[in-house]
Amino acid sequence: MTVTDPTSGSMSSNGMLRGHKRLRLVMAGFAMGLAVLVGKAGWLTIVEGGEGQQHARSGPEPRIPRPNISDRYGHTLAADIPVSSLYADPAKMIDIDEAVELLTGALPNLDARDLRRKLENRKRRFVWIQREVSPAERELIHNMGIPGVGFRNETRRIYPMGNLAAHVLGAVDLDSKGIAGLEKYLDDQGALYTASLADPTRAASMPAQTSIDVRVQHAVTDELAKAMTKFRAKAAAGIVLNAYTGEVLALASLPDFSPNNPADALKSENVNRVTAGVFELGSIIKAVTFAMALDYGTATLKSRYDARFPLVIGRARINDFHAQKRIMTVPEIFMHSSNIGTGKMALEVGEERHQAFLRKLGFFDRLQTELPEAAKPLLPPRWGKLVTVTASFGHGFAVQPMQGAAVAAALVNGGKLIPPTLLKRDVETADALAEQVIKPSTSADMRYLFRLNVTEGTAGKAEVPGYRVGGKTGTAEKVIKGRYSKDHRLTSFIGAFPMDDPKYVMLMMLDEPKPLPETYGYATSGWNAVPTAGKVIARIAPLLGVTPEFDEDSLKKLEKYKKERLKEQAKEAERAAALEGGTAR
Amino acid sequence: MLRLLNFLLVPAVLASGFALYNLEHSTRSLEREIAATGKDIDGEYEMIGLLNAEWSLLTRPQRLERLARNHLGMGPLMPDQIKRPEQLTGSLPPAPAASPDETPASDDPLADLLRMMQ
Repeated sequence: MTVTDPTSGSMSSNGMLRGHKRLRLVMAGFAMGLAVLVGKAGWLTIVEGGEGQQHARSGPEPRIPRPNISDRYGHTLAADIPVSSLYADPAKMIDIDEAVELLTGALPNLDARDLRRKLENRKRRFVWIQREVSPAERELIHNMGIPGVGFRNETRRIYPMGNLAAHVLGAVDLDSKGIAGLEKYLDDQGALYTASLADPTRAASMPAQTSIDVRVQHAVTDELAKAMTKFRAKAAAGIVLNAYTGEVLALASLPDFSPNNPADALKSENVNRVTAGVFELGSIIKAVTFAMALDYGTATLKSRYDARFPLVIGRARINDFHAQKRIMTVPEIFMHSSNIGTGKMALEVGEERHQAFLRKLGFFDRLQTELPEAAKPLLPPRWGKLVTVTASFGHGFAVQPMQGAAVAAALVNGGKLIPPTLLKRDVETADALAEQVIKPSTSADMRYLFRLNVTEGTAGKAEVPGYRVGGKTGTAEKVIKGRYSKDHRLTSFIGAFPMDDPKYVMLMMLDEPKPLPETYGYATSGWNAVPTAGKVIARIAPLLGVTPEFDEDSLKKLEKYKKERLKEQAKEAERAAALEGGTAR
Repeated sequence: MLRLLNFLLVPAVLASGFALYNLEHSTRSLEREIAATGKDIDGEYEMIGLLNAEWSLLTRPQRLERLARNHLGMGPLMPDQIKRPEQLTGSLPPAPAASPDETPASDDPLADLLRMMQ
């Protein structure tokens, strides 16, 4: 290379020319290099780019995150957990034999032939190898470094408590869409849902807090399941309500399902009987008739009614189940559950006012809680004298058991009808929603009647000494092929505790319980639904912070009660141990 | 004059270039750190969610009831097992008679009390 000496001062034309040429050469070199770069970049973004983006979109859509669901104390009832799923891109596979060998080694339940068939299809760019791989397996496969194999993060909805509160929670389908229960409700609620969408992993997305108390829920479900087996009932249902807030502490309907198998949620035998079914509630509705008569002032606790002869209306004759055939006072009619007496009380109030009262209590409308499953009440087409009489003891119209429980709460809490809810609520909110349906003095009279019915009447087996239980029994004959059947019964109990200031209201229901030798051949409510309710109360009252209080009378009963319960528990424990031993072997 | 300015500017350009490069480098490493920490936080939240679900699985009442029955010999609570504070006074051990000469020179009053009760 010749170097021109700038200091010489002689601008030789030869040197100038050489410099120009060299500059041009360098410029041409640069231009060519740049053209190659631009061309390649253009090729990648325009020609191959479209195809590449399609690759990125292939495979299934990621699932939508959902908010967690918890009970009233924050125990997780439903959660989204992250899982990894293994996929392959056969086009990027180098050695299929090796890949198949390594993968089947890491995941023993993979079928080698099936896997090979999937991977040999070179045209496909996305195949699932296995959904929901455990973290350990993921680590193992990741470290193998097989080309063309990758993980996709997914979320899976799990219900750690299994069948517990299944009907409250509902279920989601494979695309993470709610198909029943609160899961479906959440889908319809913008706010909670979007909050979780915005930041699914962060603490900012709060769980949807239900009003359920898992301990109470378990006690109710457990006792109902035991009763269902013991009395060979077809189904059972139970509700526990907070009388002052309308919060549902427990909602059980058996047979139930596990939300982890969403297909079971939609089976007809697993229907939520508490809200999605309507039933003739039978004699527990008598409490409503009594409250009505007392509230309108047509009867007082001292009034007397003649129950010596059947009540004849047109061609129909109304008889009593436990016929007393005498003149009875109002508390006596309540305790003996007299149809004649109750019918006469309703007739005294009159058809118009009876209808108006039932409408005020919401029995004529569909009750819609957060649960999407809500059945419409079945009402008589025409309302005459006979209908008033039959409706006074709970026949001829069918409502959701949840409606019965909400009304029972109003009868004992001072007359405030509060719409029940499955989400957590405080007393102030509940008071704003509440509607005064009966006078507080009527409510006090009703508390007296309920308590009397347990200490001296048909609901005696619901008594748990110390917890001041009150309630009303109900045995309704089911309509089979258009006729009331004597052998198919729906037995129920509606009650509250502690009766001096009822904080909790419950409704228990058994569908077609059978008579047993130990119930002396009876299958009425007093022998099955009522003792079940008693057992539930004995379990949940301490959980709910109800302090037992004893007077002389209940102290006397306590010894007998303890002996009976201990004997029963020993029997139950034996049976449970035998069952567990049997399954273990 | 201009030449002097140029002479001063060249090192200034170099120095500021170096400073800028350094700053960018440290910003990048901070950004990487933030991203990594963010990822760690996400991971921790995910883990909390998982552990909550597991806790819920392990403390489901069905399981606790079985464990308490089989291994602790527990059963449902009877109403008379709940006592009010005033009912407890009858069941308390008698207050230990503390005599001044027996006061031990230890700094564990609970241990002293236990010793005296024996």
